[in-house]
Amino acid sequence: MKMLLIVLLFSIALAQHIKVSPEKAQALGIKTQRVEATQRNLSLVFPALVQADPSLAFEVYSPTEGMVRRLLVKEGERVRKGQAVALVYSPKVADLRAQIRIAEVKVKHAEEVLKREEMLYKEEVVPYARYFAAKVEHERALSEYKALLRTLNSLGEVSEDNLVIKSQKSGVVVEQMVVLGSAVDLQKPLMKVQDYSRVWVYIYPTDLSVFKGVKTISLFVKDREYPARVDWISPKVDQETGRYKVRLSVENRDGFLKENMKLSANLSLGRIKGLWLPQDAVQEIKGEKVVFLKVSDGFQLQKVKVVGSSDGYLLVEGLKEGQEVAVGGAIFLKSQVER
Amino acid sequence: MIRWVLNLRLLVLLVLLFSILYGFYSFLKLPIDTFPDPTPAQVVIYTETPGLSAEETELLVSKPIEAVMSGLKGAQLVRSISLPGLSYVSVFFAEGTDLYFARNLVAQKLLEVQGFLPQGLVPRMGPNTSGLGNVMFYALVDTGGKYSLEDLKAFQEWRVKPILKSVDGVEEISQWGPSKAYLVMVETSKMQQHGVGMLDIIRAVEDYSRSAGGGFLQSTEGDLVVRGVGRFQNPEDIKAVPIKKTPQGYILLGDVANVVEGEMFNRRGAFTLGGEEVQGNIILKRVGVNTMELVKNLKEAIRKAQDMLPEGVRIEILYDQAYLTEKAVRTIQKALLEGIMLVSLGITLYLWNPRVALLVSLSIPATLLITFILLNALGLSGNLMTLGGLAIGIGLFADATVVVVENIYRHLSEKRYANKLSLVIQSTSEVAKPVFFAISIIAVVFLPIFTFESVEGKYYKPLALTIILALLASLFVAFFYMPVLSLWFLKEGKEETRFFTIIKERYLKLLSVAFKIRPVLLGFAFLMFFMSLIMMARVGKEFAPQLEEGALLVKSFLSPNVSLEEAKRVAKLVENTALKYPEVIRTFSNIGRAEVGEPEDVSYIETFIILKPQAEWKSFKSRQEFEEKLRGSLEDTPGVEFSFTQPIQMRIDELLSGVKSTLAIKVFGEDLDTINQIAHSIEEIVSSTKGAVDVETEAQSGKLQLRIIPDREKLQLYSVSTQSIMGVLEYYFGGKEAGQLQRDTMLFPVVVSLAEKSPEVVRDIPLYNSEGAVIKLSDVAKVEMSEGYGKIRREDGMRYALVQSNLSGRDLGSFVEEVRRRINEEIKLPPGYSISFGGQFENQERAMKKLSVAVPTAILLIFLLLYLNYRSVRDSLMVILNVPFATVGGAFSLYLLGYNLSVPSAVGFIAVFGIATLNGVVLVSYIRNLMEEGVEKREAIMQACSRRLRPILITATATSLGLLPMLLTTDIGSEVQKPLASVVIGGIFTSTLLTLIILPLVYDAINRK
Repeated sequence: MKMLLIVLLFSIALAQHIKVSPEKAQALGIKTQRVEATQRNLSLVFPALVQADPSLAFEVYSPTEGMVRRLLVKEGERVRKGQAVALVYSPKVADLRAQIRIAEVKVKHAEEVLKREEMLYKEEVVPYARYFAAKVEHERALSEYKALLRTLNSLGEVSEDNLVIKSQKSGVVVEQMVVLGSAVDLQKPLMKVQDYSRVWVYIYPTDLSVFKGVKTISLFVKDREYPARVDWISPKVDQETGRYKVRLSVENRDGFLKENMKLSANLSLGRIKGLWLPQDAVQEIKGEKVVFLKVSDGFQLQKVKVVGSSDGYLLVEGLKEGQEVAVGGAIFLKSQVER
Repeated sequence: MIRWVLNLRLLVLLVLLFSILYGFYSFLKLPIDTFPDPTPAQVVIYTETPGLSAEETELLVSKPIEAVMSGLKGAQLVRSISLPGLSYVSVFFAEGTDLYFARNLVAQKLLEVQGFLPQGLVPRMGPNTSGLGNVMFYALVDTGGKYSLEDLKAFQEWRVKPILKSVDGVEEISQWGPSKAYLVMVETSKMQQHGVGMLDIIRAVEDYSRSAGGGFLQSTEGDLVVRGVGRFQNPEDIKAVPIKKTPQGYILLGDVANVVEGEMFNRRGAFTLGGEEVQGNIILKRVGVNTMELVKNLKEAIRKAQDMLPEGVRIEILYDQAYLTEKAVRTIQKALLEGIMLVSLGITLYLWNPRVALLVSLSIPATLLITFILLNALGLSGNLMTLGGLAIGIGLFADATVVVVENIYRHLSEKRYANKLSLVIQSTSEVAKPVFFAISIIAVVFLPIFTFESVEGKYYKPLALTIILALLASLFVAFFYMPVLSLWFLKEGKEETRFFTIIKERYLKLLSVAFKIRPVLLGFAFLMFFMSLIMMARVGKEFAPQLEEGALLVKSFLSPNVSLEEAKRVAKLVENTALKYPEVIRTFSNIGRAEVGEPEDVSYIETFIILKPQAEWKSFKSRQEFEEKLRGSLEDTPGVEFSFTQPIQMRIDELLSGVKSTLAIKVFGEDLDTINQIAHSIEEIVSSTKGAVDVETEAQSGKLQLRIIPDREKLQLYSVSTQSIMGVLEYYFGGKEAGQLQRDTMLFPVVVSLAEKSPEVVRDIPLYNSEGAVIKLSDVAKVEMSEGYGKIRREDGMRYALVQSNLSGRDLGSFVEEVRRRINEEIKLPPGYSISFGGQFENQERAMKKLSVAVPTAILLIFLLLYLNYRSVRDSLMVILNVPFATVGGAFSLYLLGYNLSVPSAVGFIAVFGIATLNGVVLVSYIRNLMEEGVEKREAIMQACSRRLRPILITATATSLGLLPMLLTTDIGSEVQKPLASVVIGGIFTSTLLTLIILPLVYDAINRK
């Protein structure tokens, strides 16, 4: 029995040179490829989910309670910083304006009283105390008026009795929370605006080691490249997918990445130069990785070491540049050797 | 008796007329076939075992089925092949078992078997067809380039098949090519994003494709049939199937999958024509149906089916078995016709009287016509063997008539009787006894052939039967028609031709010289016999010569792990190599299996190469040479083993031993690895033996598997059931139908699949557990690649590995002898392991064993008859001397013409023993008669020799000439009869010579009176 095995092994060892004519090789679909050192992106593909960066979101409030009179933007519309988004009728504003008008009259009145009292005082018709009292009264009226004006101004731009509500920043109206006539106040925002110039992309890798020490990477989505930064690695495993969860902070330069977008994200972790061969060029015979080297009248078995892989390509060692190896149809060569 | 016949001569004439007409009618009605079908009564049971490996299939399915089936009444042998996904058990019944009875038995037991099998596995009986069942190959070809292979397959399935299947005698049509299906190509990444599970999709498709009948409903409009029509009509319907409701709305199937019209996956076969894939089909005939008729009907049905096809689609017939039958039968018919002419001519040389010659010549067709009536009545078909029997015996059939007519003629010429009627009666009765005796000797020697079994029985029993029937018919002709015809037709004339007179004078001179140098001649005769024995030992042995089919079959064996695409490339390579030769009409291949139920995989290809008639061959002279050329140019194809044979031959080989080659060495044992190792070392021995070609050990191991083994603990942890894993595999990878899509009147399956399939994708298959969380397959199961067994063969409950080999330029007998010797010397079998030789060789061994009984029995029968006739052991022994005399010629001609000792040549020996003995009988009887009349011994011998020279020569000449056309032709079908013809001609030549010269010497020496 042992003898038998030895004979078998010996015959396998001898059969490492395979004669194949070029026509046969072509007919069987055995193509060859030159071994060259090339650069390949060491890239990984993950399912990914785009989420808004909450730090770039804000809500638009009415500074005081009121009632929505006019809405100037709709949900989903893009707004610029300072753009008016709504008019809110506020009784407080109306009240303020009335008070201001009264205060104005009061100031005018006090001014006139003061002028008269001053003249009378100068003509020494009245005592100083009266003049002083008028002066105090005027200043009081004035400061009252000013205070009221300031209060009104603090509510922002006002058009008649309405407050003009403006967006504080640029962004997209992601949620409109009110309709015409809605009562609003500090408790109830008018709308939510989100800035998408930077987004979060969650990816779900099976292996975290690739992210070790990596800070900046590139995210490829349909040939668009986005600079990204590993923002956070979840301490928990995602319950739904059973995978790790990693958050990337991605510069959404062209606004293509949309919130809740589900995509296959291709992460480039850098480029590696070496002898990259297509996966089907490398076969396994008796537990050893081999390639079939082209020689003048056929192919020659050559052991190789596989040191890396990426996207259907294997990084191998043990070959020289310029050699030609069989790709495709290698199963015929393999079974010839195994025979 | 004779008087009675002659008195009713008008009636006899009417009978003659009737027999001629009815004979012609019978001849035209005679069902024509190539061979008697050698298929034993055999029933195939196949069971699909999706997902089971070969080992599991063997253990769970093949073994229980074997156990039950081997207990059936009449079941002699049970073989099984277990493949991943298929169990194939064949049960062979005792010869003579009615096939329908056998099928019934199996059908009853199948129910019982069902109980032993794992749930969901259903054993089925294979089609009731035989090894010669592949009667016709045809392909649907689209000349307009409008239709895809899937479309063509749909046309075949829905339009052509129903028409052809309705032709009586068609058991099944195996159809190749991709089946059209609507594929739901699911993208797993999208599924994960939408939170959709694999089973959700299946459920959705199943739920939304249901149709149901709702019975009837009365309405004011009338009675309504209520129908729920939920079947999909187009791919858009499928895309619109909602899978799951979410707060955002429904997730539709189209969101996570693309629906395309494409080919059903997991196809394990293809059919190529001239190197390109086509939609090919093979029509399997029911056992016992006449091929010629079936093919004729099929061709008509194909014309009808052609009209049902759209413009541009043509049905192309690639191969039918009828052509071979036609050719073979035409060869035999030609040989028959030429034989009749030659025999008539030969007889005329001796009996130079046109009237005698005419009567004798007439006797042959008359005999044949009566034989046809008998054949028809017995339900035998006209085939290579029955018609061949007639062609072989053509000279014999004239014998009785020759003797009768010649005697009448002689008496007429001698003018001894005044009354012609009484003369005829007298001269006929005179020869009646010897003629009956002589013919019965020939008939009797064929009797041992009826002990033949299996193929040789199926082939040669009809042959023997036909010859015996024809001999009886010839007696009928000689004693019923001939006296009447002679009475009217014969006139007196010269007794001898000049030609014969010269021969006779020379012979008598020679004989007197022979008496003087008796010891030398006797010694010479002995020496010749001795030499012939040496030659016999040196002549090769084989079962039967190969019938030239005018077509070649190349089998390609590939690695078990090749894909269909790669296999197609090999088929193309083989076909293109063959097509380089202008002698090749067309080539086509079938790769793997058509549909379920055949134990082949894509690693096996059969390529048919159809050749022009042999007369047009230029690049090569013989099939062997062509084979050599092809073998040479294919030799360096890496990873592929080729084997060459012929289409029908291969089927017969396969049928008889379960393998498709000439020699099969089976290594029996329990451990698969061990038997494979032994098989490999045997392969080396065989391939290093001279004459071995196409040596191949079937790759049993090395089939890569992707095993998905659920981890029970993890299953519990995630509360996922094995059921849901297996459900996913069953649908997404096994191709289980999830729904149906209707197009016009055709239904197509809707199957779910993954947009991208790779081991990595399998690992990432998302599963839903009962709590709604998504888990990957690799979380709960081990997904690993491993090597398993591709094919496990068993016979009579034992596993075996198979080494196959064909032969070139050497006879099977000596080859096997050498291989056997070397295996015995070089291989030590562990206990519990054994080796057996099978294939054609098995037949040869069995046949030779039978023959070693049959031939002595024939000789013994002859001796018994002789003894009954002579009541003298000495005389009987003397006549039996003709057996060695005939052996000399038979052996010499076999040796010199390069034929092997085979069943037909052995049958030839049996025949020639009978015929040769006849010569001796004629001579010895006459000498005895003369001596009883008181003639002195030497004088009696000389007189007898002189008188009996003519009948002996006539018989010998007629028999030899009758066989000559068969020996000389090279047409298809003659190969099988040639060794027989050569033995008979050679044997007759020497036995005649020796009878005429040595026998008188021996008689003289032994009888001291």
